[in-house]
Amino acid sequence: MSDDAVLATRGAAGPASGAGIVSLRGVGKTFGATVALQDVSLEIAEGGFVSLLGPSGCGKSTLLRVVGDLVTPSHGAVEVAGKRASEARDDRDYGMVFQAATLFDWRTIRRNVELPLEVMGWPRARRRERAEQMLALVGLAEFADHRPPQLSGGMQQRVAIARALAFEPRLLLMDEPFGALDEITRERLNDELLAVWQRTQTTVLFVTHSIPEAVFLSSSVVVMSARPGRVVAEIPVDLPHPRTVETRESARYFALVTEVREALRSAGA
Amino acid sequence: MRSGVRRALGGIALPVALVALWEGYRALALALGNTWPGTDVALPVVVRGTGNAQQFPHTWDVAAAFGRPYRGAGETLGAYLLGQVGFTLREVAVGFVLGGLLGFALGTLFAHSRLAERSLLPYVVASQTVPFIAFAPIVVVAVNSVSWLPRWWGVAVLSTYLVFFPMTVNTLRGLRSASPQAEELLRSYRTSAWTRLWRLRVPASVPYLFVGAKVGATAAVVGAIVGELSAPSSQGIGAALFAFGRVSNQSVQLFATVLVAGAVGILSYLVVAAAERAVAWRFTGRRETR
Amino acid sequence: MSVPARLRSWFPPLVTALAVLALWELGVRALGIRPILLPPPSAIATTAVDDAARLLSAVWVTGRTALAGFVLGCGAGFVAAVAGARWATLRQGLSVTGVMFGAVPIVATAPIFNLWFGALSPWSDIAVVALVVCFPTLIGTLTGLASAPAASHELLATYGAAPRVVLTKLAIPASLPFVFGALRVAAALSVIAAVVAEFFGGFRDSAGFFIKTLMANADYTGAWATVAGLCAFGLLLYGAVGLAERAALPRPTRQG
Repeated sequence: MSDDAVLATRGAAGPASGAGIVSLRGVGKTFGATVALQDVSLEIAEGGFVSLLGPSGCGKSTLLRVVGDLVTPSHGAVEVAGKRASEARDDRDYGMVFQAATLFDWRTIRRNVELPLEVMGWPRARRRERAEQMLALVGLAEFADHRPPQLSGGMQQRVAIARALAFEPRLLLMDEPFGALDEITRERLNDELLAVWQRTQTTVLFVTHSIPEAVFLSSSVVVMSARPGRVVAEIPVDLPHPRTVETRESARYFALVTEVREALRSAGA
Repeated sequence: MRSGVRRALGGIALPVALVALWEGYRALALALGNTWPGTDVALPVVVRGTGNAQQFPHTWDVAAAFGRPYRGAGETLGAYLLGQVGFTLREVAVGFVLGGLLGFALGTLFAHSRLAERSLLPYVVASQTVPFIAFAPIVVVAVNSVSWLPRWWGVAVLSTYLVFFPMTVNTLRGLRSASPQAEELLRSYRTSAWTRLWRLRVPASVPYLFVGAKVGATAAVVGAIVGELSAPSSQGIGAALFAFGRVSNQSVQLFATVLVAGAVGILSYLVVAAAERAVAWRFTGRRETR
Repeated sequence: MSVPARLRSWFPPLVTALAVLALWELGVRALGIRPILLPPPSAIATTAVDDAARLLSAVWVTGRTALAGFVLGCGAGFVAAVAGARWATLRQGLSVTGVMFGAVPIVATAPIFNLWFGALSPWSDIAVVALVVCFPTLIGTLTGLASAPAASHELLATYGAAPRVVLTKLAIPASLPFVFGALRVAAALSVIAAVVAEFFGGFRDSAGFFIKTLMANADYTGAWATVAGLCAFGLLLYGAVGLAERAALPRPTRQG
């Protein structure tokens, strides 16, 4: 296992065959004396929906931030869409959704969705059109002129998702986006997220500590151990699409949930 | 770098920078002949004058003035100003204590009675927009008519006026800051309102009280100085400022007095800040509040 | 707030005002307090009406000074804080300066400005006002600029936004509530500072000079009337800032 401190570079503009849209090899991260991540290697295929699941402090958020170039790894190689993480960030190849919706209270909902497009310098008419499209996609078109404090937590997160997808990134990074919401709203938002994913065909990397949520949403669940974070298991989820309430009540679903739970327990969680 | 050394350096950096700016402007203005380069238009602040009448003295001239007599062959400026500072500090201390107590009492009243708050708070706020200096002489005359109070109490009352507002507002905020859950908990133990006040709300308000006290300390100094201005034949730093400002040949002494006034303000602030560091951690577990 | 609720909220302060005025009037008469000490409100009102022209012009002259100082000082404080947001070392220095100078009685510098700009010039007074309001604005703006949550900064980082973009799209809009708070304080302070500066040596048309003359002639009723006029101007300025705040920061009520 390599322990290099430098990120690798690849010349190609797109992922080579065999490698996914996100490629992590031997990634480690140490904060001071704490080892957050230890030797993580992962390939994420384009178009997939991958959950990172693990107990608190297992480094899954850190891993997400490494992919998003918000954190520089101490060792290992990170490649996003065939480029270095920092290049991918400059090229805006990914969108990010945090646990807090982080909408700007002084902007209308529509202008919140327009924010990344403004930063990227899109002309006004195009921005407005795209913002309205995205709001329609998440079902909030009639709230375009409201302001964030007027919306519930769940609605605010939907706006955050609309904003993250506004510039059609190839990759969507989500850090426990539904963690602050109640279970009922959560399940509803899970359904909506899947619908959006199917329509936009973005690759999604989703951090969560909810086993049912991970299994319901993903094409593959990556189970991580407690600190220092390592990948313990990658469990493919073969549930058919579209996934509905019936899916949540099916035997195969329960079997997968059990499998994931066992993997977590065996990792000492 | 150790944080103690760092703070010392940071503390020195500001005065050094200011002195550098001062001398720098002075040199530049003289070099340019007091006009904007290439024109006849005068600079906004002109450097001229000699001896004690300089309008922009060297910092070291000001420093030297402290050691020389300020009038004829009498006491040195330094000794004179020190006496005046003592005089002013007396007013500041009384004003601070009275204003603090009054502010605390009002704040507690408002915390307990919404009616009192809604009736009186707007006037407490409005009172701060009134240029109190205008009726300062009246206050002084009124206080002086009470024969057993020394004259300087008039100025102290003016100081009180400036102090009580920040103390009221911050006491109110502080007393309201105790968490409702903690209050409910104490209620469930069947404690009286009085006990709840002293055991929960007052300790919770301590950080806010110190914020109010820091504002109040500087306000007390302003009040004292302005009060001395408006009360005829008074003593103190404000009176000294006025006296030196009226004549044209004591400007170096004027600059020295301004520095002393500034120092008094900073000193008052630092005293409260030090008290905060010594005491507040008992109540909050934290070292300093904004 | 609904209209009846809003009216009801005016009730207690209004009642108090009337009660205080009534007590004042009756008290002065009943206790035989000399008008030199405390004129009754009726006398003040009459004087104000009689001398309205001179009063208004004096108040306006001082008000102009206060306004000019307000604009200059708050503008300078705001700009300095924004510059500090951009360059971190500057921000440290500004923060320390702001606190230290906030503790200094700025009005003590009034004689110096009289020396430099001439006691009869309005600029000596404007300079004092500007200095007085500059520091609260500086500190308020610095606090406001730092108030945006870290998550919002991270969000803009994911867009690869340049520092200037972060400033204009995040830090400055987030700072506005704090800035307006400071501006409200500054509005009240500016009138007081103008009068104090004029007391040190103002020009003849100003309210400060006017009050000093009135006091010298033991015309305290006139002085109170002038004070009332200055108060009104201060409240107007304060109200104007409040209106500007309402326009800049619309506050919708919670629905969702």
